[in-house]
Amino acid sequence: MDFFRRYRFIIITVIFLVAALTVFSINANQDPRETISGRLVLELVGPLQSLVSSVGGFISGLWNDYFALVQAARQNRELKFQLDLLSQRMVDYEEIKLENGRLQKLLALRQESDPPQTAAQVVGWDPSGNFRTAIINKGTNHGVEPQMAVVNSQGVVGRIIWASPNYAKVLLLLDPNAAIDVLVQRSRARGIVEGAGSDSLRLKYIVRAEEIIPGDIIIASGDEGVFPKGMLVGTVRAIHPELAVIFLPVELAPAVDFERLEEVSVILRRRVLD
Amino acid sequence: MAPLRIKKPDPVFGPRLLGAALMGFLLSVLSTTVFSWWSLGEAQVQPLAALAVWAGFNLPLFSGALLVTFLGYVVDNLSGGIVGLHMLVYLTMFYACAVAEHHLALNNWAYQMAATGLMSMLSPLIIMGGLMLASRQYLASQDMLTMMLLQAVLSALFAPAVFLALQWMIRALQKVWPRRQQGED
Repeated sequence: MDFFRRYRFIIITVIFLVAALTVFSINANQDPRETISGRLVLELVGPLQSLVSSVGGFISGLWNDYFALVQAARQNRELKFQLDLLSQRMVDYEEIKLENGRLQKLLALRQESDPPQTAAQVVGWDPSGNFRTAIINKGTNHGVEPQMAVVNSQGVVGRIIWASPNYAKVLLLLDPNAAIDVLVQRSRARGIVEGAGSDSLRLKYIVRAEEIIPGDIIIASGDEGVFPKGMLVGTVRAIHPELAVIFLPVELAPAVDFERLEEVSVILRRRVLD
Repeated sequence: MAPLRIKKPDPVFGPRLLGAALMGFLLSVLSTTVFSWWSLGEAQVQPLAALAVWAGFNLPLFSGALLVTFLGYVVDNLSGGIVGLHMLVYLTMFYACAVAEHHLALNNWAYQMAATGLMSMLSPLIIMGGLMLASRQYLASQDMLTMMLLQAVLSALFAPAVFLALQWMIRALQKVWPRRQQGED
């Protein structure tokens, strides 16, 4: 008893640190798992996050709307001009689409129907700032499950890592542990895109011989069965041939503006593993 | 290492622990919303580090450790890391401050602010080490040292707001706390 009293501080310290290390070691070697307590945390914190996000969104909306009004007239003129150009381009695209449909029928290719989606709002972000994750307000009750793709109108956002009944955690494409199989739209060169920080992506496994230039559009290949083929991932920002050994180090600008990410869509289709 | 003194029973222990737990929950929510919106580049205020430091200086050993472990678990479930990583981070912060409090009697706000700054610099290093051990990739920016310093300064400057809010919450809880209930772990 005296021993415990004498070394109480050290004993308690060691017990807690060993317990934390054990929990860490168990979880370190496996993919993120949904646990009952983890879901409970998300369900408890989620409503408050939604509330704070709504209030924050309302305030920033008021602020942004004021500035938006100031610039609206000028932007309106520019947009009308762009609309005229795009209308003509749409006619061209429609023509190409019809032609493509006819050719696909000829080749008897299976046309994949659009997968179902559910819209969700981002209610929270990583609390530590060390990871790139977001919490959305849709969960298993809405059909959301791990590994599902998360996109928005701009392009690929990330994928679900786990879900509670009403909330889900998204691993954003910016996180270095996120990866997606891609194609360079122009040259059809294949590669893997990984997250590289706050506003940057890294395109890997592009061989030196491949022709790639700044401004090239990078799209999802659809091969991994998570993201729809052709979904925009980013554009080439810089290429560093001086650092290349076998593969070209390529820096990408993400298609999605993650700083202003508010609404997303979850594609309710799971990857089918062989 | 010399044996350490055991604290005397504390009459405001209950309100302090409950106040810290409630504040921890509130700060967890704010860290995922308000504080992530207000980040300066990759540097983000770490209010939970301030709470772990406060716990190290002001809470008894067992209950304080239990609180920061729980806090770490909540953060682990809200972030994209490995469950157990933030538990380790906050426990390390807590014990470092508890040792400083026991041995050096450093327990005023200035020391606690400095400790918050130091500990928020330590946190990314522990996380980086943990992720390397688990063979995962870490989001290391090119100017990591600058970011760590900036984060330390931000967190240290913000710490008094956390301490004030805690003090206010504890006082409010004391008013409604049953008078008979006193104790220590």
